[in-house]
Amino acid sequence: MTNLIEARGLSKNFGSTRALDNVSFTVAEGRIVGLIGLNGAGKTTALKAILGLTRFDGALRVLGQDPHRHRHQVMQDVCFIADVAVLPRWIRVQQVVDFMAATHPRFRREVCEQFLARTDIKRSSRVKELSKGMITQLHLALVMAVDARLLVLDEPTLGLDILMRKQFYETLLGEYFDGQRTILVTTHQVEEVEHILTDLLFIDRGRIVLDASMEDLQERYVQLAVRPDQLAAARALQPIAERQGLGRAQLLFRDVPRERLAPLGEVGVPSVADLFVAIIQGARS
Amino acid sequence: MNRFAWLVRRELWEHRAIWLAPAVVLGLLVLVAATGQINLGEMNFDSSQQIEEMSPEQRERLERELQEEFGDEAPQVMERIEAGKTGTLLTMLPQEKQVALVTVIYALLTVLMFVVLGTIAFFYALDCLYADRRDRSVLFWKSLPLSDAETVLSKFFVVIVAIPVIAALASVAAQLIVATGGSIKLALAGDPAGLMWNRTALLGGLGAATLMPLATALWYAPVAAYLLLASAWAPKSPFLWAVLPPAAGVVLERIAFGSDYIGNFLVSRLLGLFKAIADDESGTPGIVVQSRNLPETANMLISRLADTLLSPAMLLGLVAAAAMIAAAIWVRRYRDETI
Repeated sequence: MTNLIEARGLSKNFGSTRALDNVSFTVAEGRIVGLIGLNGAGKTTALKAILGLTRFDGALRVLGQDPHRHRHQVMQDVCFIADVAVLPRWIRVQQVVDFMAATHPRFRREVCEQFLARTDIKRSSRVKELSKGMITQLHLALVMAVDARLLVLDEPTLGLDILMRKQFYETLLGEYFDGQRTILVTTHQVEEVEHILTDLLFIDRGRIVLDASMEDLQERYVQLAVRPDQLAAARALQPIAERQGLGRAQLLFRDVPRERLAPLGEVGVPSVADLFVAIIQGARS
Repeated sequence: MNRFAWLVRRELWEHRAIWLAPAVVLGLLVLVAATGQINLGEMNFDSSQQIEEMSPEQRERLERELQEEFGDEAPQVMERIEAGKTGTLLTMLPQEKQVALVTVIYALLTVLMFVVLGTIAFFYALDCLYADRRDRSVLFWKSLPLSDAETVLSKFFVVIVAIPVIAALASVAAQLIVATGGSIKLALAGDPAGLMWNRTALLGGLGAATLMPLATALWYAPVAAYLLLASAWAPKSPFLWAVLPPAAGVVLERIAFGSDYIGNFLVSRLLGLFKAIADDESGTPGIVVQSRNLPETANMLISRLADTLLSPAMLLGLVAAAAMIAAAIWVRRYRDETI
């Protein structure tokens, strides 16, 4: 399987702040990768580097090219939604469709038209006259019509209500993702994307603190709802995190066999959010 | 239509003033022409009767006004008025001077359009590489497979080709509107309406409309490139970033050295083209208005224009423009964009 993104020793400083600190990772074709981190953890800087919007130290290849030097070539195969607020507000729907059709070699007008036909978006409207939800639909229609190999989403649903957020990911998964395409997504709202992700990258303070596939995670990490009388025994197995649930303590284990945990309580799959908190805290302490 | 043409079209979508402003000016001109407001020197009296009834003071004042207006021809004009001829004062001038004045009217319409579109070009150039960074839509444009060189060059093209061509077309349209309105006015006054369609005058107007875009585009190319660079560079307020450094340069130079090289350079670049055209040997501007010999005037204008456009200052300006456009492309490409 080919790697669409290969980053080795990626570093970036803003003054004395180290936004990316010797970061290495790869994104393989056909994966849906979640890049998860707190504000200021470096995820936006990493995306900017991938999209050729910023300079960096280290080696970075996107579709085999240096994105900073060959941005416009790389962009033939890469699509990108920063957040929905970046569509120019003065442009008319018809104009942006015509412009994309004329300038983007991989834009399929009929796909865009089909998608737009299912919305209430009027062709003569300017973007500034559309509601936030409609702008999202328009941007999605434009991006999905591009036959790209890599789609980069940076907080794509920020500021949208829950219905629209759900619809956004449903459309993306149902109509766009076909197993061939690759998606890299950053978001705060981990719970909304965790069921669609195939891989996770946790980033904290400019470093990658977790790089794993979802299958790996489900094998390696186990959440245990401990019976009160077994708490001491469970703690002896060295959980990486512990929090108090409703009446029961929830302990998170890494690389502890399930058969050893099962007698102590209920074994379950940890949520990405819980995992994230545990790993970040572990990395910082 | 190729990509570059679409990029230029995109600019005209976003900056509608480029074609709306001349359209509004033309609309106003049509209004002026349709309501008979084009002034070709209508007489306020319509017969010799009135002159005979004038008091000596009134008559003296009229003669004085005619003297101011017509110079040496004043007595002839007075004679024609006394002979009972009515109509516009314009047609009372000798034929040559009539044509010259109509030509000047046409040339001034061209100047008007260039002042309107020059102002728009100035603000366009300052805004075009900044507006999309201000509203973050630059992230959308940069997500498309368009190179930054194409983007910047399309904007430069708008300033030094598209806007001058629009100004030229609008000039010709304005001349035709005034010609139509003027000839109706002349016809109603019983004067020969053909004067407005005089071939020499129309050719003179067309000459002005075609030479102006060429001359201004070449002469002001470095100014346009400078403004684009400021627009690409400025963290905010490109107007201040464009205007303050040269202004500070002038002031500092005067304080530090007591000299004025930067100031003189700026003035010669900003006004040099018009000075070259307008100044005659005696230093008085407006040779076109003074001269009665149109072909000679035209020849002189063209040769002066050619001199200016082939001067070392002009060629150096083009080199500077190319360098600043390259710098603008570089800044556009490599500055960190905020997500």
